[in-house]
Amino acid sequence: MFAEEWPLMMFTLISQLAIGSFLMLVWVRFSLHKHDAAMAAKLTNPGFKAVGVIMSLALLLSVLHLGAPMGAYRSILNLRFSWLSREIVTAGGFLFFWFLSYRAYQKETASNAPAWFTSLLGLFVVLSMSNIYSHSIRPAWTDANTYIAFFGATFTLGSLGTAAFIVYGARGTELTSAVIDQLKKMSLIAGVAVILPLLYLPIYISTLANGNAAAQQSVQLLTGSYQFLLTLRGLLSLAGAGIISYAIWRAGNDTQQRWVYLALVLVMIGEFLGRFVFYGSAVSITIGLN
Amino acid sequence: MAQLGFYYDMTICTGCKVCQIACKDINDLEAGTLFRKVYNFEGGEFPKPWAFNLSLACNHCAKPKCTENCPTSALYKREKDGIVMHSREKCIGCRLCMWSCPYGAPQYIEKLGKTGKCTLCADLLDKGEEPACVSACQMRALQFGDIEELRKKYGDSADIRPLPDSGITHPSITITAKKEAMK
Repeated sequence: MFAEEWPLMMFTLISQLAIGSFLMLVWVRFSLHKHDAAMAAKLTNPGFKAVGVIMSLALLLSVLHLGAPMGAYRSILNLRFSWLSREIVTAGGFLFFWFLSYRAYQKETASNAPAWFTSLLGLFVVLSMSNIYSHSIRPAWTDANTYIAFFGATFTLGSLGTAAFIVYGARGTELTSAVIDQLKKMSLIAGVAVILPLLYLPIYISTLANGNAAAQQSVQLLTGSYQFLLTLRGLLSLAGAGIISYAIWRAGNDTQQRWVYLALVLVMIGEFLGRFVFYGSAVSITIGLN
Repeated sequence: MAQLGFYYDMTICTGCKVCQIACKDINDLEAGTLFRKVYNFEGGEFPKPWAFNLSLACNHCAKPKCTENCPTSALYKREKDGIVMHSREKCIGCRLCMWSCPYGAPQYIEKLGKTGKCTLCADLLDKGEEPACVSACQMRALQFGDIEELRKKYGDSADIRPLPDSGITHPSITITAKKEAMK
């Protein structure tokens, strides 16, 4: 199904994981730095490194989506109007400034400015990405749901990704209360980011149901052949958000790591299913539908 | 800027598809790719069945979403006559134009890994000739020209039942429709 769009679909998800994780890692590092600079670096460095690898993979996927990949450089020629051009410039910029931020963080007296700037750029990438879809002729994408889904995925994957990177960085050591406080914040952000898109779902479906023929066809898909996947997506994401809360508030230090990883895997599968439905249920306005 | 466009008279079109074939021929398109397509609609019940045809290509919209969204500017409006042009050299096959056109005009050409579309036979126009589809139409159901002139002559009707709301992209087409095709 929509095989030609799979690399693009994975690009959106993977880049949102990278951007969300970077954003959260910067925040965690900034917050922990006051308590213990060495610990802040030890816990966040693996994550920062991984963000670069993940974002590079995302950009590679975006190129593979093209029918003529060798012309990828031309995708920035319409910055004045095209959100796709803006997305590519900002995504490339994000990767460049990630590198600068990463290098800056290797120095003891590093300023946070490059990392904050990179975070802002990352948010602009997600905004550009959302605008590409909201400027299409598919009613299922021109709804506010696109922004909620994309920013929701950024914060869900980012907070859980960051929690996983932190427990990975802390393996073999006892987590301090300052670190646990940060992890609690990650789990709260994940909870909100998972619940908001699910709460919006009924509004989204009822808005589409009152729309044109293409919008109504999308409703038929969402409530028909995609209903099971949509339900499974909600359950997996909620389970992931629940498990991370359990891991941080209740689980012992010895099992915490596994629970956090499990939560990330569940949420990733949930977000993947959500994005699959997002693509699959978007029906174009076209000839003969009215 | 002048704006060229099409006039289509549904009431005399026989659905012979010669416009579609002429377009396919001049653009050297392979099976499955159509820059102009004749749609057939039918309905009703005995003793009042109805049928009508609709011949459509790119409508060279006044506010096209494809040119706005195209990341390479491969799609652009020609200054002198408002034709939505397509540069095959610049196109990278991202297919965003296909997500942007409510009329399904841009077509993905698998062999090239790029899209293509009707350019109103701009090369023929530049030589003083007519677009291939217009020349081929034996019923003279298809005409082209300054869209404002065509609207003055035939009325301004792009909002017929099978077509998307003209407010989305302001298509440069006007149609004389059969009553079953009217909204």
